[in-house]
Amino acid sequence: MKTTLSACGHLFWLTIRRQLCSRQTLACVALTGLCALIVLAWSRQADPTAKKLAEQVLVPTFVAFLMPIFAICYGASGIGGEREDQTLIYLLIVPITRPLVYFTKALAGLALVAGWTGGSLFLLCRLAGVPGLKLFAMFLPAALLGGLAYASLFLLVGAVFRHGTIISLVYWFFLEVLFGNLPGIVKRVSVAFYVRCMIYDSGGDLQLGPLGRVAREMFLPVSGMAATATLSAAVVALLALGVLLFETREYRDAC
Amino acid sequence: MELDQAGYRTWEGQPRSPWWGCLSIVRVGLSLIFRRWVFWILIGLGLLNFLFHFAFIYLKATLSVQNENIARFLDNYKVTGTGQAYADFMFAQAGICALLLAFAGSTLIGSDYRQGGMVFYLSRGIGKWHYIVGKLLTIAAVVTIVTTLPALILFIEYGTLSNSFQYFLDNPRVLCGILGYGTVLAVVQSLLIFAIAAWVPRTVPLVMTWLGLFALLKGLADAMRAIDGNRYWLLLGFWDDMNRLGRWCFGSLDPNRIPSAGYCLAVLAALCVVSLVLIVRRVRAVEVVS
Repeated sequence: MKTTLSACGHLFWLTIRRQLCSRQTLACVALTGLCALIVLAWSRQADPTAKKLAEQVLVPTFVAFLMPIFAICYGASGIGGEREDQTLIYLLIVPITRPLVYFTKALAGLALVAGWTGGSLFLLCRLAGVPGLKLFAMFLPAALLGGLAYASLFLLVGAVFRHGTIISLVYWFFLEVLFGNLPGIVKRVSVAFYVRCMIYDSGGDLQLGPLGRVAREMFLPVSGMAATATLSAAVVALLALGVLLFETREYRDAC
Repeated sequence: MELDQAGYRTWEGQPRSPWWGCLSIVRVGLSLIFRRWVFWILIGLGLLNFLFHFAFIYLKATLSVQNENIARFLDNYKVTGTGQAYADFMFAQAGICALLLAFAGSTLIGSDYRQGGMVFYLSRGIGKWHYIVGKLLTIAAVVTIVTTLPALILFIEYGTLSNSFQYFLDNPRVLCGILGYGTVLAVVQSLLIFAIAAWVPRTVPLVMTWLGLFALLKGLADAMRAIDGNRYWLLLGFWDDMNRLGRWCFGSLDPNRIPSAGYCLAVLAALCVVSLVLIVRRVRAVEVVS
């Protein structure tokens, strides 16, 4: 038992180290830097308010783009990266059971996504000044939970499909961006919908909501509590499904 | 064993220019992409917009015969056969094409760096430029399949479902626009994705850099413009620059609106030159390991 835990700990730190010391981390730094420039430019306009910051910068830039990209970066590459590098075979022959391997990789990926999401949100809010600091507490739970939901989904996709990153991208573009803006309840299949519900619920004082009358009427939100419960359940369910599929799947392209 | 028994024989034909090798690179590249099911899913999703327009043009042509008012009502859906409508259609297709190129860049260029395909290609009887042109043509072909070809089909459909050939005679600018916008998209996007994939060959960082470049630079351009209303900041958004230049090809760009097509062309030309320099520096037959 102790040996297994020690091996899992080693795998956890190895995953963190490999993911952090990579070009994708440099890409994350560059993208966060670009977002920081956007916030700095935005904060120089005549009348910067918290509502404007949320609607013009944080929701379209951070929630809709940066958060899913972080999740693709460290989620889809968790198992997908091992397949692409053809090192999955070494992972599968270590004396740790497959569910534990998946779970450990997932923990490492989720920790990285949570760290990047929380850290970059803090940086952006800090750079925006007073309006940003007002919004940080409002956005943090939604951003963290959304990032974790995306990451566990993309980790699963990376474990099941060979081109996990591209499929994650397709899912994000078509289901999240396209379905997220369709009328009716079809948008409830997207993670972004629940993240926005959490944000709009906690930002009730600022009257946050979708831009435009038609968008507001079509949005049909659920309560913040329901959105939180749905996202939390999704994280657990996706992790469990990933463990199950990773345990039973035969990887013909492992070596 | 004798050489002729092993199937080896001397080449007695006239050797052709190595530039013909570019076509082989295109053929191999396209077959490499076409045999992946992910590509067909992306193409299928990309063609949803095309199918919508295709069906709508047919519907409009059928209903116009019965009731002119219904046809005018259907014009609200922008399937009007004008340059503006085709520009909108190609702009929407270009968004899907960006996703496709993330996949194509990883498969066509990135894998050559990751798995040693570059050394294989450059050990043949072709040079660096033949390889570069071949790969660029392959990516341009993918862009054309998703953007220009569907627009051309819609143009032909719109004209042939009308009562005469007058539509084709009245709208030569639309045809030029489709070809012009298609060329802009193919040239700029192929150079840019090649440059990015050559320096960031792994799929995940490639996708992040590629999408970040288009999505976030546009956000930065809008934020900078909002400071003092200087519209020249909009030139930072490469995606919109391509769109403006494409609309200019269709003749639907307001000439008094800043930034003008000339500025967009200058920015995109500079971007293409920088991309080409990055590509040339990175395409080498050997990898120096330090």
